[in-house]
Amino acid sequence: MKRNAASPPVWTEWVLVALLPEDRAESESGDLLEAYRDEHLPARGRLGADWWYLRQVAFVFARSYWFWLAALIALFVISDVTNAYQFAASRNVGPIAAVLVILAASLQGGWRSRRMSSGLLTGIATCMLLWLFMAAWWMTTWYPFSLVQQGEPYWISAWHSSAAPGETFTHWIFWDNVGATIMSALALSMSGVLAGLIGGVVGSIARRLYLRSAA
Amino acid sequence: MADILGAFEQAVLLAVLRLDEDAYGRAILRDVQSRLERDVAPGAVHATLERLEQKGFVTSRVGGGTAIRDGRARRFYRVEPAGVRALDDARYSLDRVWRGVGRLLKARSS
Repeated sequence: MKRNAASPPVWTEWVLVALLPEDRAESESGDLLEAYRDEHLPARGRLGADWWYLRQVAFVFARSYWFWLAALIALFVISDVTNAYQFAASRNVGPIAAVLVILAASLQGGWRSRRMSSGLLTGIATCMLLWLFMAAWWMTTWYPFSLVQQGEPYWISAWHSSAAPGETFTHWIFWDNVGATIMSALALSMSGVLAGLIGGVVGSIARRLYLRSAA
Repeated sequence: MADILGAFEQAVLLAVLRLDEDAYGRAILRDVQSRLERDVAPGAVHATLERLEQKGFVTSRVGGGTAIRDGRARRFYRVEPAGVRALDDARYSLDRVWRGVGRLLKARSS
């Protein structure tokens, strides 16, 4: 699909329509398109108007799914602090709970819009945003956490078993965090696509069946 | 008086009332922006309209599109009697809160 000279990027329109409930997608996307052409394109130029449109799409996502993203971020922070300080009890619960939350967000996406694509998009977007937070978190906390970790027997033993000869604890833990950032991008991509597909299919079918039985 | 409207809900509901037959998303947004004298996200207006509709304060119907929106349908809103009552209640509560304060404010500012 080619982009019209006075239209927002095609992909942002696609994302917007996929995020909105089926019965409101046309009117709400029409309102945004009207505002884009009538007000923002003349006032801000192409780039500024595109940026404004993108922010509106992000707002639609945030207004519908902020709860799930907040839950994922809370789970991650708890899990990471637990891991760094070695409060071992709930270490393996984090990833499973996270996948369940991504699945729930995708279910809501499919249910709300009655479209599988919405569930998939929700799954991918929540994972992407979570990953951005994780990357920022790890790059900010690796040093203060390392000051605690270098006194913990668990981390000292991990350092001894996997560090290169002569490598300091600080250097090792920094690259451990970089590795975790890269690996989590892969793991989250797969989780987002899989949970998004399952949630999108189940949510959209469940909503259609519900509406059929209610009619 | 179970559910007092918030300030933004009042602004949206009053815009629907004011615009009458022409109350659709974009027109409501413009009205709210000009009355509040600040930038408002279209999504905030849409979410509020959806909520007001769920509460039974407004109803909507789908109407024709225009060229500027590539013919995409417009959703027109109408305030229902429950919405008018909710506005009355909100105004009544606000009046009660402000009653007698005018004189005090005048005394303090002079």
